[in-house]
Amino acid sequence: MSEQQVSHLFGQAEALNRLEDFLKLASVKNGQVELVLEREQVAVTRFAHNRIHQNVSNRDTRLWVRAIIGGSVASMACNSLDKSTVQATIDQALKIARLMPDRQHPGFASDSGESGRTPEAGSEDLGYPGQAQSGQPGASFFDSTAYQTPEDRARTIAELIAPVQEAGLEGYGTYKNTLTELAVANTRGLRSYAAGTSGYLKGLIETADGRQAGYADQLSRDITTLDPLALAQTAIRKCLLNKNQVEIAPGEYAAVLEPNTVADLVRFMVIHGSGAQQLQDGRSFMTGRFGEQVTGEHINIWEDPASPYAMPFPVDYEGQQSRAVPLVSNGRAAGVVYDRTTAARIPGQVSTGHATTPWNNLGENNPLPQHIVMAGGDKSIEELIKGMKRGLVITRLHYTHCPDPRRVVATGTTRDGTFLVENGEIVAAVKNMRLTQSVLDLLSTVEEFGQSKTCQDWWTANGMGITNYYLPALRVGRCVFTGNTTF
Amino acid sequence: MAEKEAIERKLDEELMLAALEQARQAGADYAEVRGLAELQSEVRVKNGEINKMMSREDNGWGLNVRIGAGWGFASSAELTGKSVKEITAQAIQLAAASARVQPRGQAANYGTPSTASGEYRSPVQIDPFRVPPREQLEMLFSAEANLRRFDRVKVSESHLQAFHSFKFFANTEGARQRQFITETGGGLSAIAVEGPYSYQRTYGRGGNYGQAGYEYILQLQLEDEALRVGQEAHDLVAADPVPAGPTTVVIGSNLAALLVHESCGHPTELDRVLGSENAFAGGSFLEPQMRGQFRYGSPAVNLTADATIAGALGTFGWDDEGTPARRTPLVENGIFVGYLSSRDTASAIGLSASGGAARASSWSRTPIVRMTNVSLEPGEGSLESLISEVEDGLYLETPSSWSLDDKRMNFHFSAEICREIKGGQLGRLYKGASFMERTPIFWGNVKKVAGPEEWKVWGFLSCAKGEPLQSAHVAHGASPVLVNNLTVQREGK
Repeated sequence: MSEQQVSHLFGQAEALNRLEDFLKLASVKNGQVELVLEREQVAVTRFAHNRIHQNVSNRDTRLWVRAIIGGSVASMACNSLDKSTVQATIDQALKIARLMPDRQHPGFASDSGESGRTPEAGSEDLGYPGQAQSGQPGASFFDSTAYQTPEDRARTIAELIAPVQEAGLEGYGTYKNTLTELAVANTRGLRSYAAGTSGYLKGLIETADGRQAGYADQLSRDITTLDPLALAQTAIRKCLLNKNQVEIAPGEYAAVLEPNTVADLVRFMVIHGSGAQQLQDGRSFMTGRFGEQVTGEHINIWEDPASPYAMPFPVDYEGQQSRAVPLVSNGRAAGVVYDRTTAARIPGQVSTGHATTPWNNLGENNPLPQHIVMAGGDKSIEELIKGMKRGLVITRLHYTHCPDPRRVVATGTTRDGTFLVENGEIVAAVKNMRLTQSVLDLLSTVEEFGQSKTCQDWWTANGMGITNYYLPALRVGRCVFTGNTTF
Repeated sequence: MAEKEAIERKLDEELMLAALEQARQAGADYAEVRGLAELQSEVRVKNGEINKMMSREDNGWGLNVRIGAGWGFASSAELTGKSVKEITAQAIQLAAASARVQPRGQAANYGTPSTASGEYRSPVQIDPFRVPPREQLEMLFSAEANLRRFDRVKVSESHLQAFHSFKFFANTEGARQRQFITETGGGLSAIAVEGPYSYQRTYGRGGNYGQAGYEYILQLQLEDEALRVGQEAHDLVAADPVPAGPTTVVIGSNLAALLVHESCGHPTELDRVLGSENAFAGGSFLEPQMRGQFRYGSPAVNLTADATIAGALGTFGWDDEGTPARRTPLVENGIFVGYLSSRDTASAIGLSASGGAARASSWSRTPIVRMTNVSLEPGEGSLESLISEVEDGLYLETPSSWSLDDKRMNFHFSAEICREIKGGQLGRLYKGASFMERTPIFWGNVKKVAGPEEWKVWGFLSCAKGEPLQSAHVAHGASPVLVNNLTVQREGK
């Protein structure tokens, strides 16, 4: 983005000063007001058939006003920081809160450090690998990403496309740069601020007839770590290998699951089982099971907002510091994440700093993990394949869904590279298959852990989710395929 | 001249027209500007408490420019003389950068010009933003309490939403369009829990929505519907699992609507066919050479995209490229005949004009090919008459989960509710029914579609596509459908 675009962000001092001024507009005697300010610059360059076909840039400002009168809370939002608009928005929030029946809202925090973690009964002794040696939190903001220009993005895509064209193939994909800042202030004295950048590059490479496809992506807060040439080479290799696909019968197969596939499966443990609301609704796979074995004993999955590999970000949308939380520890149900509302329902529980964006248009705003880490190993995909007598390699999944949240059953079709392995060698490309299986069961058959990768599930990568992952490739002993498709 | 509404005053049309002129002076071959001012409110009651009470105002504008074959789109929430200059410069910079990554000889055709001017207003009887919050809450609390009358219901929720927008569109071809649209709707959800099982029953999955005022919400009769939804959730969690195997099914209109959306609406989007969505939403199995020949379904299957249905979410005066709303056949007597298209995609396959399906979900998004109101045209007879034809089968209603491959060929759906059909009569409840099929096989096995008296329009608020993501409001009319030889599977629940 150009410097002019970076100037769209206020920076900590100005953002908090503005909120300070706005709070003076709130005439509150018996209540509280909290302001959440988010400024964002998003640039997305898309390419198809080796050409940029869409190149967009958007800057937005969002101000969320929460007002509490007694135990009732009301929210109003606007996207203008004009003083009269903000005044009207605050007044309206207070007016509606006064009208509402009493609701046991816990009130706003007075300090960003009020968050913490109280272990669940039954999982007091459970943690995650490396918990005792937590190092420096990862940085969330990089100038390298913030100062990307349209020309920089076009150059990156040209670099990705060049070997694709040379190979006589067709490139499709996206390069997205995001620049965001989040400031929270309230009448109880809380002041909180953080800024973040991200770069996401993906490439789908196909033959001209569309019958062969290969895929790769890269995600980082620092775009200098993105390597468009390496990405192109990986996807091209996969595309060229993905020829003369054979149809194989649905059934149970051993499989090597690449990290993007693992993310799409673990996602359902996250969104249906790892937030306090799902637990309290009785819908989580952890409901009533803390301390019990839920997956294979070598599985460790935790939420780590400070991990430099999991798109770190230090605070949540209630201005609370986001804490690390073990979710599955050596295969046992270990914990869920909380915001202030869900924590207030449980005596002794506190927010873990996982309030999600109030701008979610998909219904409720429940606390969710957003920086998932899963313990991995050091083997490459090729080494994992070598250890498999007969099975499949799955590059990634498409449009997964969860027909049974409590058992965490996932279903989705493979795409962009599904291969049959015999005696440790890829022997054929395979037409896409439908996987339908409980993720908990699948994670009970992990035989080997591969190298980890920073990535997003298909939904988050496409703007329909908020969770980032740093997780490994896996070799599993039993993967259940219930159908196949024609290509 | 009539006084402007408050929402119109959020957008300075003169400044947006100035952006068009500045783009032209800066070398744009074509430019279009779109401003959108939107009010949104949402109220949710859950487990006897207010879960959400939110109002939101969202205003902004965007400029789309073309230089040769390069496109650039920039947008901002700020609309001032300064931001017009900055955003115009950004759009030009983006288009110039795009133009550098084009194959030699890339066509710069943008199809048939859009020159229409005028005004469109959706019908509204009761302004939803003037209904007192207390009145809305009383209705939602009452509905939510009705859900909780049943012992096994542990999580209960009722909600309503309203949207009101003003959109201004102008382009360098002379179009000037102003549209005022109000949308409302609501829904219910009950989660019943017993032992290790939990089961959700809803009213229309996410509810139902239409282009209308608060009168639409009143017509939903959520308080009465809650008694049915709560009872069904209570019964379902204790029901036996569905017997798996091939059978004859009758599919209710809400589930049929989502099947239409996923397995007909998306694969007939021409930008998917042409590759623009390959890396995200995916492509399509419906290739251009199949038009007019490919048997998509049985002769009972007729599908249409119609942006002129009064009161439906996918209705408008003009799409977001300025093309007038129109009705386009997609499948006629089971044969695939048409696409949802925009100006450039229509031009790319030699269609005479855009299908008027280019839509942008926000001021910050550029238009892409979207569904409007993609509907299964009604056949004949009542739901009861379809059921009476089934000696031994199942009735399925309301989607619970859905998943499709990237060309929309293989799909997997599960249904919230399933009932036995024996001797032409509905029988016991079953839980956990799902099915997987290939699109043309499924629609090819459709024996009958029920008649106009059963035809209902379902409005969906969150059809996701595009990068950055665009969540579109679309609608689907459907009557219940009788399908032969569908293999029903059993989920655990």
